Amino acid sequence: MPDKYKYLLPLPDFETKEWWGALRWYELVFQRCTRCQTFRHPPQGTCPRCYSEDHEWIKVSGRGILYSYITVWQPVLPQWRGDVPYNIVQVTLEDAPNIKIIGNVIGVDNSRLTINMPLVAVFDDVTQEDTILRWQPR
Amino acid sequence: MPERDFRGKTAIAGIGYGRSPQAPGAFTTNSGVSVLTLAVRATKEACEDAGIDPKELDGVVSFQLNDSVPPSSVLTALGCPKINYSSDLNGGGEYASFAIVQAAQAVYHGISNYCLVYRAMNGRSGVRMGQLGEGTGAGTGRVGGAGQFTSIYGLAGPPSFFAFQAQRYMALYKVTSLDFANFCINRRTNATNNPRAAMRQPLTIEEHQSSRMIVHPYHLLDCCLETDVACAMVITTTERVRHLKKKTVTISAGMGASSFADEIIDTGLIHIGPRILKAAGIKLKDIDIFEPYDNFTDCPMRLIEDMGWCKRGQAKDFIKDGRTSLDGELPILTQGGLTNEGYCHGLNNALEAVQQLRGEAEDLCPDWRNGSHTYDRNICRQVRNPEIALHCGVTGGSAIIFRRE
Ligand SMILES: [Zn+2]
Repeated sequence: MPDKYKYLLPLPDFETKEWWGALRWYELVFQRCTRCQTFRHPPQGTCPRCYSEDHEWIKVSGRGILYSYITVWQPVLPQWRGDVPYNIVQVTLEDAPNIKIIGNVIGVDNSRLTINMPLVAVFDDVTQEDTILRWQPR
Repeated sequence: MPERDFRGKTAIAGIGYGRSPQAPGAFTTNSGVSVLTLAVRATKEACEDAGIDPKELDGVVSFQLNDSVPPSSVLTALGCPKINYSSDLNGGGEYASFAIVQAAQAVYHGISNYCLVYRAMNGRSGVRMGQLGEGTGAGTGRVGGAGQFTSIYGLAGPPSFFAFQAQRYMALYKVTSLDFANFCINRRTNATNNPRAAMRQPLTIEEHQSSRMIVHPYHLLDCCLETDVACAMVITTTERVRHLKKKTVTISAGMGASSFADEIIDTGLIHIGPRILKAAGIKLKDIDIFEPYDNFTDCPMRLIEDMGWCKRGQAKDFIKDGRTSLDGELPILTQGGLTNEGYCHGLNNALEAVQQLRGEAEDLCPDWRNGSHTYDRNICRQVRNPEIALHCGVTGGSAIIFRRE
């Protein structure tokens, strides 16, 4: 674990703190509407399908598919300027296909990224309090 | 049916750019004046173009992302005695067509007689759109809101948000960066005779390919410019415009102003396209010129496809053989677009549509101001006698059809 993490960290809020809390336990969870079973992400108060506020947190397998990706050469955020080129990906979940989640892929050369590539979630303890979700090929 | 009744009832009285002796082409990288001054200059030029006193303005619509001034302040600065309609739309390119539509609605319903539409920004020397993101963690190193799922991976700036769409589009439909280069070359060709355009040198494939990578798959030359500029348009009833100085360009139909698609490649024109044609009472083949929002190269290509001129993935072939050139069957981005002329958040592409329909494309022809064109493509960029133009906002979030009487 690095002493000082130089990148941006999340600021969880009322609706997202459970999502971030689960990552601390190496669990990837998503909100699912208890009325119509629709998954949603990022976490929000109301189901966009049936408008119910009732939901449960469902643990998913962490198996994902690469939906799209980019490689940043000229970053806007200064914290990343020393890291170019770096990848950012959109991933769909095997267990919740309507969800797209932003992340990055580690342990692979950027030139090997392809759409529909199978990925698996990894949990990165970047500080004493923060675990960040990343992806690697499976 | 209300859409049919709205059709053609309102029209463009005047258009204007925020020019000065230091910035005769309107688009600069450092205006040296406030956004309000830019907005007032463009408004004065639009009223001059219409042949009305700015004090006749009694309505105003603008859109902004906390980088401009309150709309009513422009009318106040011009001493307009009454403001009957004022709308400050919080957003970006999705409103490029819709801001005009809203002003037309205000006029159509009799709320405003002369409604100003403008967009003003010191987009290069002031607040830069290219830096836009969900959060920078200023002070704390932590980001909340949407940024807690995006900024933490170094995701910020429009090129990175749109590059996801481009990458997937290219992969699924075998579109390459060379196809992007072809599109960029066509568009640049139209800019060469545009005195307003920042980028006027003819472009080669090699230049496109060797321009530096911003966010893969976007090279620098796939990205639109950042500029200091203001554009303005005055809307009133078609009846009034018939008695003003310029040829009457009416608003046939317009709608928007945002879209959400499950498939990120899909644009709002899939939904809006058929509806706006019906509302305007025209067929796709009736459209003479297309001025889409071209923030990044793939975006106008997908808009061509979603409007129905060709199928998904085929724009790369559709644009070949001069089909979309000034003398082709569907001229596209006739002034060079946001990528070559400059960036007024898409509103400049709408002003261009009006100039073209009036036959007053600003080019190197000596008498363009009087609508006299040579059609010599070494100096002229006026399309031959266009009657109907389609303009749309970012990813087809809103759209408008203009028609010359
Ligand atoms: Zn539900």
